[in-house]
Amino acid sequence: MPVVVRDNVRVDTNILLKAVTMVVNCVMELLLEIVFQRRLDPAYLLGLRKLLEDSMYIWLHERTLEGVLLEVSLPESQNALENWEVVFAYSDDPDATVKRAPTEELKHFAATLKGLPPGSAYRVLVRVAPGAKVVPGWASATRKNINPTVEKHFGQFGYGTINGQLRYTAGIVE
Amino acid sequence: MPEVNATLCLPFRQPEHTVTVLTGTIIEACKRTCFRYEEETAQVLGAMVDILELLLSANLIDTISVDFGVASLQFTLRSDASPEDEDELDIELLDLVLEPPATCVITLTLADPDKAAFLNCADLEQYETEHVSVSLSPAPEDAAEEGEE
Repeated sequence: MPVVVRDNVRVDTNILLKAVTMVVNCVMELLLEIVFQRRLDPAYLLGLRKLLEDSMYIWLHERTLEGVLLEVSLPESQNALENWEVVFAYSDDPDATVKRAPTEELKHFAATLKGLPPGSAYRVLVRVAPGAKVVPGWASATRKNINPTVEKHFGQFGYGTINGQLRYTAGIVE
Repeated sequence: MPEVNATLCLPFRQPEHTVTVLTGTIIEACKRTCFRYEEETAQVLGAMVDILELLLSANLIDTISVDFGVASLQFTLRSDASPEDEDELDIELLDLVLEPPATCVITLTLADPDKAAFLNCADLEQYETEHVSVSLSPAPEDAAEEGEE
């Protein structure tokens, strides 16, 4: 019996590892696509990539990562122009279905958006549950207000015990 | 001329892992073909690690071909792989190369060269050495259309 238990544990760990890896890959693919589609300066995201990936591995493993937000705004403004947020859901029963990142859906949707005002910038904020492991490199921050005018939910992605969904919210330029 | 096809499965592997496997397999190909400039190849690939990881993260690479002149090795990068799929890296056929290659040309075929340029990943020529060159190639039109819905 101990052998069976060990095998079960190994299988579960394997699914979790694949689920986390797949979801991290999907999030990075989506963030890179958003920056490209909205013609934002990629330098910030490229500089953050390693830290963000490593942090997501930790927080997805411990199921404390609730969301990753790419917030677009004019730097001097208190309000956000656009929020692109990936929210995560965790389940105890592994789902064998592989749901790919909705990159094509994102491309088609982004093609319908107007260009951002000159000077638009962005930052990435993560939302973690209380008790999440402290990962060096992150500082607490407050998201900007947004007065929603348009909302769009994209198809879910994920595998095993983790699902992600990209949500878009447009705000008013003031 | 031996032509070897290999497959790398992407969605359930970390980009770092895929780049490590890719690099290791190309170095092994150098050994099997008796390419004298294995260290040079390792240096070029080492310098490209960050760009390769980023291109993989953005899901931009369709294939990577390694042309030794007297033999070639082509990697297909499968973004549609299932969790159970394994990389296929059987390159023993390269042992049949009788004449050591003089050069190695590594070509990345990209799904979206514009996006690669936007992400500052298009200038691969800077990594070239005397015997190892690197180039980018856009994906064939047909393949690009098939990739879309």
